[in-house]
Amino acid sequence: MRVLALACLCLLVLPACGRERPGAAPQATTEDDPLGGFEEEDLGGRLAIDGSSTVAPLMTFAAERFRVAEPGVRISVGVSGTGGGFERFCRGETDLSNASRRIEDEEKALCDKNGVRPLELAVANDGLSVVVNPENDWATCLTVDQLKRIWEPGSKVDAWRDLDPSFPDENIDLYGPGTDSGTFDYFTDVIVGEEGKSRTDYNASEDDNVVVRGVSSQRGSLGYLGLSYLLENSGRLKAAEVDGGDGCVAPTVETVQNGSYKPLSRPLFTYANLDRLEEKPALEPFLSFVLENEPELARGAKFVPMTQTQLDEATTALEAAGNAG
Amino acid sequence: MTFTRSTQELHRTGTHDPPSRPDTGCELENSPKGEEMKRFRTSMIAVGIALAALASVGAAIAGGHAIRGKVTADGSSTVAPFAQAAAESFGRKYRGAQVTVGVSGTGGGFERFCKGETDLSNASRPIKLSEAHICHQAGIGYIQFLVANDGIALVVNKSNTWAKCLSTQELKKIWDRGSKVDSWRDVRAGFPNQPLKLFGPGTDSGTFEFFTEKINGRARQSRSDYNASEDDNVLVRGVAGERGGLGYFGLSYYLENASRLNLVAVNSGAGCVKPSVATVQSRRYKPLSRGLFVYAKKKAFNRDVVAAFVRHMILNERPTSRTAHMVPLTKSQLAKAKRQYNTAIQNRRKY
Repeated sequence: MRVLALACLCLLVLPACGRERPGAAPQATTEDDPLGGFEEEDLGGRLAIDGSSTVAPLMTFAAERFRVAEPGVRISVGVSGTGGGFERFCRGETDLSNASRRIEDEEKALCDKNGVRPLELAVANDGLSVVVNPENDWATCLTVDQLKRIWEPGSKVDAWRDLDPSFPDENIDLYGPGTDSGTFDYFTDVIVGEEGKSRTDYNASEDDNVVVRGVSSQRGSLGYLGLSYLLENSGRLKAAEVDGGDGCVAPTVETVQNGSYKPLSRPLFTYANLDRLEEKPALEPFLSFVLENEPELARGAKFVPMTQTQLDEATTALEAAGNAG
Repeated sequence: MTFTRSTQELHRTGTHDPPSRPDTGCELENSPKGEEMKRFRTSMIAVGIALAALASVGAAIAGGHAIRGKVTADGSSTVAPFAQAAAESFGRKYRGAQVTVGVSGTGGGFERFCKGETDLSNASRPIKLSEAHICHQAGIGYIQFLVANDGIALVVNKSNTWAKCLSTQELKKIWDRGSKVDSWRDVRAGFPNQPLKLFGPGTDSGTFEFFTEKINGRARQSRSDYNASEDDNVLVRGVAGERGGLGYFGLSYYLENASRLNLVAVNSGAGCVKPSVATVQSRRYKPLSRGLFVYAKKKAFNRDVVAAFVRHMILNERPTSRTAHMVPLTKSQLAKAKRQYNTAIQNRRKY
């Protein structure tokens, strides 16, 4: 789903955010131009990125845009998953490891053993919304338990009344992402309780717009997708609030950014190999580019941008990297 | 030249200790350059120095840009000699331009910078998250420029054949407050029973601050019964003349006097590393190497004089760090600064 959105974006040659290619900078014709741009040596080399498939579209998007300014840099973005990515990262095989969660102690120990020093940088916020038809006036708030009963393997919930006797006897038509999507992994992990476990008799599509169309056209339907799709289709979809144990919370940019929309919001990360920051001239410029253009990149990849506080944290961490005595 | 490492900071304030100095209190303007340098060196009056056009000289105009007006910088006293040297050559080039360099300390500098009082903030460490928050809450965006590298060398007498490498623990034992170590034998069993003669910078120096923080665990915490001088040449002579001598100062002073002194490697847990231009640039020489920074306010790039000064610092990085006795940037560090400048000058209307 997000992968598709990304592919579309990449086809369009959008004006570069942040900085244009070096050639567009005002070059000093003589040393005497007091404001003239410096001649830049083009960056080169390869950057190897792997990890979370959820984060991949953001980094692929960033890489495409970065290459407009630095065509000499080759960036590969793998999708081995967060855990698989860390395995490769901690063996020193990659420069950046995308992660939809923080690094775990065991993974840290492996990194440590191999002398790989990771630098954690948040890059975006991820929020999933549970959506229903605008005419649905009963499912204003659903608990995690109710969502689990709907979506778990072997679920017998076929009508809304099966979920709550006060709900109408209306069929639930389910829409959601296919099994290759990071959204699917995330939703099944925090709602069903195990990543990848889900009932299979639902309308699955990697194209989020299919979910949007399905839910907006049938009164009894329910689906889930990234928050940005809800925001872009607010007239056609209605969000159910989610009760993660602390009461009903609506998905909004704010509740996703501050984490109060539980359990369907989370920060997304990339981990940088600190030594590679020294060794690979393109790595730090790429990360700076990501952080400088984060709001635009995050929105482009259908995520929720970071708050200024989150950005400050990531930026200062990157600035401090390698400079400590 | 010795002023570099003996700059005094009026206020070595952390973030929790705001400077009480009035904003204009430490700026001297319009001093003739020679006089200025001399004062810096000899009287140790801690002053940010304004380098200014002396008389009514027309502003330089090149590429349609008139470079005139004021640039205000404040912050680290360690970085000040670099900024100062750059300010001087800038002032010679553009007579209508005037750069003032304060020395409120890194923390004090950021405090002023994040209130919007200065265009540039000199820093001997990266900005802290708490400082960055304050800046951004005030709507002040900035760009961090690495302008030079800094490393402290430990040196012993030419005839010292034993102290090839000292661990950070041994250094702490020697230098910490209340230390009673007065013979090399007390430093490590097996060292000769040679009296230890210590030489180091005075307490007003940024080098003292950095060394005590990294070695003794707390900035300014140090034994005080050592030969202290703000003049690094005094330290060089002292160690060169004492068989049991041990001293520390900026790496460039060692490099300039390499034939008279022995260099000591430092072991901070990952083996012995000698300070060199390369190990300081890469920070492999731990914990006594670091980057020196100038933070530039993004909005200030809209003023030609500020943009031109930042460009001037980058363009003349090498001679400036030589004048200021600092370790220059690597090729890739310099390339990064150039890219950052290009990005800033190109986007400045959006700032």
